[in-house]
Amino acid sequence: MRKSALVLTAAACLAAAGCSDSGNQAAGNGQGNASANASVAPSEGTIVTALRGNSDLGATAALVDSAGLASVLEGVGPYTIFAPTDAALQSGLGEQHLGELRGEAMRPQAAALLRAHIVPGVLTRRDIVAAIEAAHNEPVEMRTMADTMLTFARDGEAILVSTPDGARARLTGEESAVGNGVVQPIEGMLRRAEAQPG
Amino acid sequence: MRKLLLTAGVLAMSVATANAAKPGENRGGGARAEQPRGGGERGPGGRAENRRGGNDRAQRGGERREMRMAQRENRRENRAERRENRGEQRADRREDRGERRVERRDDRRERRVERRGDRFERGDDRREARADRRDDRIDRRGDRAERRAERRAVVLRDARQVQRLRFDRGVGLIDGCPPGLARRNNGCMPPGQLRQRQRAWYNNWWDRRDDAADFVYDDGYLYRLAPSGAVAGFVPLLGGALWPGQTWPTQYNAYDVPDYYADYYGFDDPYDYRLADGVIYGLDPQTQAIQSILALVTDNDWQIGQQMPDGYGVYNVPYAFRDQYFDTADSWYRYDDGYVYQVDPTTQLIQAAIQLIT
Repeated sequence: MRKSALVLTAAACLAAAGCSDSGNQAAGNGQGNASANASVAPSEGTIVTALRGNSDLGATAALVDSAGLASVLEGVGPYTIFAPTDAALQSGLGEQHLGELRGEAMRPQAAALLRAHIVPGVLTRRDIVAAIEAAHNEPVEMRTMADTMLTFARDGEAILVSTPDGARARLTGEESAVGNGVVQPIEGMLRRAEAQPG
Repeated sequence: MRKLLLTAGVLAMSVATANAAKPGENRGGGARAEQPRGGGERGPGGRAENRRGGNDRAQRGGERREMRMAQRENRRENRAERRENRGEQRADRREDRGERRVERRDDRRERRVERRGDRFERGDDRREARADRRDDRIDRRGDRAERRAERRAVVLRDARQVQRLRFDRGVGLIDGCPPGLARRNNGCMPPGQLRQRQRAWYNNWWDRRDDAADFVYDDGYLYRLAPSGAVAGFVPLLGGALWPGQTWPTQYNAYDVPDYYADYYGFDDPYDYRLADGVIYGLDPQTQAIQSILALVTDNDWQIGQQMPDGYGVYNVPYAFRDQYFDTADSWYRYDDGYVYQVDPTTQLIQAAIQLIT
């Protein structure tokens, strides 16, 4: 299944001549510019390999594995995952809860948390900025795989993402555009823990 | 090889024997046989001569000296000859060994060449097989790419043509008492941990279901509690009761996955594909055991002629289709669950669904 998924992704890239393996910076905003859109150049690999390859996202990569979502995020997709950095998970959950969340007993919680960080399709930063600009700098929304809403707004040069329950995070570091989606590192969690970590 | 060694050994021995048998040449045993034996002359006859006078003695002494000198000379010559012979034999043996070594080396070289040839042949076979498989893969990939490219142009404007995932949010909750609790005949009161109804630090992570209800988690299930504290319903969860190796809960309804989605996501295992609560699972058709967690879907309601669902404010079309479907003043394009939808930017009405692959 995984093989075929990757083959399909590769085939799609070949068919559209819109993919290359050079670099992982995405471009294109979907706003009436075919050449800009065609220049989107995802690197080889999947969301899972991108997470594992980013030294700041090790905790999120571990949660993907423990939640059983690696098979999904290695598949066709595409998905965009807003991946909290290790520091963000540490700060949002605390050492103890983060440790518990990685355990077998809390796989459902890990899956629920991650689904709230994943949206359908390919969302590059350029796409998000273009959407905000097209909305006359008003926030724009995307729905997650946990049926929650993410709101994107400009915060100076940065992009801020927030949720109705008050979680907020800035997009940070470099996005990774890969064959089956995008990894967007963020400085916070998009779900709040009900009790403050001890 | 052994045969060759034996043959060479026999040859060496024959050469040595032949040398020993050459006429007119002094060799160890032969020289001794021809040599005059002084002891013989000193036999009974010799003793008789000794009884003669001093001149005879002096003459005999001189003869004996000459004989001894001659014998010594003979022995020296013999030793020299033996040395020479040994040298020759050694040289012969060296030569034989050299020849045998060369022959063995040649044999080994030949065998190596043969083996290499075999390997090359086998390698060629394997390379050919690999090339065939690669060609097959490329063909298959090409077929898929072609299909995708073909289907990419198919814009569906009739809602009846669109295969959609059937979704009912209510399907996530199984009403009533879980079988395990029902067997206790205690009014479906949950175990101690649940009865305490303590809210865990992750409890709000399930809030998509029903904010008004009280849900608590226990052991792979989410339980909905009635005001009395009894369990009113339950939901098997991804990562808990719904996990590879677990048998699908008999009471838990799920929807079949239309062919289009299996094609799009590239499902090619011989599984039953089930959709429940936004997750597509692969099940063993015989045992109904979960084999794989395959895809996450939003299950959002995209219907041609209807308004686009909330929460698609950002262009999110897959890379491969961006050169073809990009936002303009007349149309937006948004991706969701295997389709790209064309939307009127002004009215937000869905104009078409675009299949990406079959």
